[in-house]
Amino acid sequence: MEKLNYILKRILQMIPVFLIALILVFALVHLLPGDTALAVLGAKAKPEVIAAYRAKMGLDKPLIVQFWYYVKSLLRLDLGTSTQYNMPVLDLLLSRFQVTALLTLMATFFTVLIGLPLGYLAGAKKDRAADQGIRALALLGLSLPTFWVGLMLMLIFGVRLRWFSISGWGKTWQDHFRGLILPAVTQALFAASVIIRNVRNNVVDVRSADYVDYARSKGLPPGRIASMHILRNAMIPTVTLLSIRIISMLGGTVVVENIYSLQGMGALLVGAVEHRDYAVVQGTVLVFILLVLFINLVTDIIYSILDPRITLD
Amino acid sequence: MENILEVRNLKMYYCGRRETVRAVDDVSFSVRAGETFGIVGESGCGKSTVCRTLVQMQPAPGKILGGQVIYRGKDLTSLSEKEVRAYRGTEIGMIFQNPMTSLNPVMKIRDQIFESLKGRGLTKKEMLDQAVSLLRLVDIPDPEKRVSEYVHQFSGGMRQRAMIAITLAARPKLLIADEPTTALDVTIQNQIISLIARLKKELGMSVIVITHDLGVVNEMCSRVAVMYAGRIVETAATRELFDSPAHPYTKGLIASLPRGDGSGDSLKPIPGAPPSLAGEFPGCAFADRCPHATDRCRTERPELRPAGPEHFAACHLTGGNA
Amino acid sequence: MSDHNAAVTRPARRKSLFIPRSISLTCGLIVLAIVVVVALFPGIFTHYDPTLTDPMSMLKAPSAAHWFGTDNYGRDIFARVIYGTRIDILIGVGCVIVPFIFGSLMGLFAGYYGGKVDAVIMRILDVFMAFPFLVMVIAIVAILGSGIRNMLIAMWVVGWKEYARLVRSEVLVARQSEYVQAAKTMGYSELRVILRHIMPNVISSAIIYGASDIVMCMGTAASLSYLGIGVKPPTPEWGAIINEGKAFIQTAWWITVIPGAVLAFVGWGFSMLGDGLSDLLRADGQ
Repeated sequence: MEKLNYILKRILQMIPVFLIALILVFALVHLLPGDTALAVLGAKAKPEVIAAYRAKMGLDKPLIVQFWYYVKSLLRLDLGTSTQYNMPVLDLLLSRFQVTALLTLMATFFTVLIGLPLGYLAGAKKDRAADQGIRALALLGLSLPTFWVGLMLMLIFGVRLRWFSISGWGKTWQDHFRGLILPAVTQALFAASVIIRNVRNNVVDVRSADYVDYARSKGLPPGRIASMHILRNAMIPTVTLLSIRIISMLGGTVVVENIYSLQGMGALLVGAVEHRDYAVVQGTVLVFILLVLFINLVTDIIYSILDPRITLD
Repeated sequence: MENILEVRNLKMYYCGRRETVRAVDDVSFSVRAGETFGIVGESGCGKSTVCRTLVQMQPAPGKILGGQVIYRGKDLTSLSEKEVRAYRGTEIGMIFQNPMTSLNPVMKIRDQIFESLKGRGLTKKEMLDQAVSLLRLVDIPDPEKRVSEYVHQFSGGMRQRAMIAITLAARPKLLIADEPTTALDVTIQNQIISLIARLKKELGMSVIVITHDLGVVNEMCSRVAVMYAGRIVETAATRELFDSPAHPYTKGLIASLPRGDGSGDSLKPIPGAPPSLAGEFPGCAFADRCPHATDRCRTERPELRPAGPEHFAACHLTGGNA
Repeated sequence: MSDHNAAVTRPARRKSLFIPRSISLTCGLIVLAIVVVVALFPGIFTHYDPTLTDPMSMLKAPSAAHWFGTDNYGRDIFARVIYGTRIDILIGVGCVIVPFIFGSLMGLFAGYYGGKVDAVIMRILDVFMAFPFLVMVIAIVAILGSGIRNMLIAMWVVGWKEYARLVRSEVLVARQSEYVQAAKTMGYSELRVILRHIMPNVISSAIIYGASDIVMCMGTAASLSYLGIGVKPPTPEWGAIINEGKAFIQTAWWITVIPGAVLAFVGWGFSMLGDGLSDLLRADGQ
């Protein structure tokens, strides 16, 4: 019950943030130089289309009214029409969402898979060879530019060795999976390096905690001490950091989808910017914001489960 | 009475690359079944380290370089890490100074008790019943509710009681209490002291109390060892030690106790600070702070010698003339 | 507990920590020195013109004449990388310096004044946190149009929030400390207390973050150029070079591989610098 209250409270706290973000997304189009209708619909648009758009969005009315019109159309799930694809932005987004969501999920999976064990190992073997090696690798991981890593992985494992498909999304689930491995690893390398360094330092701190000493004095087996007493406590600060990395990887889809020719929201956004397809830019950014808020909410919930000391404030 | 524990010439050094720190140097003492034995000394003298070393829990890079720890006829120093683990908790249980930091903050008290109960083939229900009755045993009110709480929800004294309950869950025969009252308010200190005394009697345990507080020794212990700079400098029955201390350091400790007689001038601190434990020092470690030190004290190390009935002191000046 | 730790850990620790610290710092400073010299005097490292096309030597593999090979216009990659150093470093530093100052000030005010000031700044931060970094940069570029200047502005708008958060949390700690309380009791003006007494003590974590932020900004700028919305060809920027080489990745790997490796090397140097600074400043601060 207390948990539920906590979650509801977090959701309420997100509403003003979302509203302000919404104003910024709205401003995105209205800050454009020149005639908004022309900018959104393109110079080739027919006069009657432009007139209809002006009337629908209330472009002759004050900004506050225009914002209200915008919100109303959003509530009707009307995100406008793409000039580039000539189809409703909502349909476009729905068709692209899956790729980006799966890519980010997989990248998160790889991040945890690489980051947690290596970070733990480095922390447990503090200052020994394993620690030095893992830290050097993590530092390298932080230094490699992600888009270049993507190109290199594609060159090595896709083009030369032909282990993975680089032809994109494919048709079947197996195709999807194979097509996403390299981009997901590309994304995960940087994030995993951040996680490794964080987990390592937390493990070093926690290992010298009194409660680990006490757990040893109870005669517990090493595996139990490592999992329930060390890792369980060391993970708590990592959760917040991981959510920041996931959000960052969500943004990274903009680059990675481009490299691997994946038709996701990131590639859609870049294409829309290039073609000045502003309805699509607006819609994509809006979905990204919703995803971020969702990730933050899930993080808060996980955090409150992992750390019983967390209070409602 | 038989000895439950006999420590003979135990040496545990920290072997760093640059220097060797003699944290536990040639320490011998014994604990009789059913008694409460005190180890007293200033912080840094090695009293906690001795007790951790008993079950091979000395902090890295510490190594046991000699001596024996005979627990009920078995030398614990000869055991592997895996073998000695069977003795931790179930034979020799510990409670630590600061219950707030010594209990896992993210595990319910219940689950921390369960850890000590595992391997006894109990059902979940039986384990829960055990946990509740353990909390009741240590006088925690409303145990059915508190057993599902976390340590941060407990007050200072209750935390220490909870830690005692967790340790007792494994039914140790020897309880090592490392500064059990130091982190607590004065009023609660006495409650914990009498709780440990009561539990010792009820459960038939032996207890080692590690403390810097001679008052705690006086209240709890039948016999006591005084440690200084990694060595035991005096050991005797508690009454005997207070009535006729033989080592100048013990005398200093007793003199620095505030007395109840109201005479303001009786509180005398020992001048100076303990020496570094790194490297060799040939003579008596206390020589630099000792008002009676002679040249012999600085060059020749004194061994423990009889200074009364069951009373030993490591001082050149005792044994006849002191 | 403290009893056994106090006597023991110190001698063993000093040794193991000190050496890696100076190694990170040394490596970082060496890379920094190389980069600065190359950025200031590119002419002494190569006699090729980075923008001069040569139809006779197109897509040539690395050789004695062209160390890093040539691109599809016959331009010398080594010269392009050397001359690109200045642009990439300027972008990296330029992306960091403005957010560093603005964000630190915001964090300082939020942490020092608390109350409404803090609430307002924190809500603004919350909004900015709701956008993934690259998405927001690209959205801003969408409004302003592409090019170096607009890319810089976009990165400024997005980049300050981390500094504000870092400095704010440090100020919250410092505000309670004795030296600040003492300075207040002495009757110093608020600005003086902030700038002279709080600022120097809280800024080190922002500096450490700044060092690693330069790496990230160079990476981000390069990826924007790679996407074609940052630096435009034929300017020799590393990301732009990689972008141009992408089409030839199967036949002329050197156009994409080598500039990226250089970018990674410089990034590694700055990361080492950040780590070294972190050990140094944290150790001195305590």
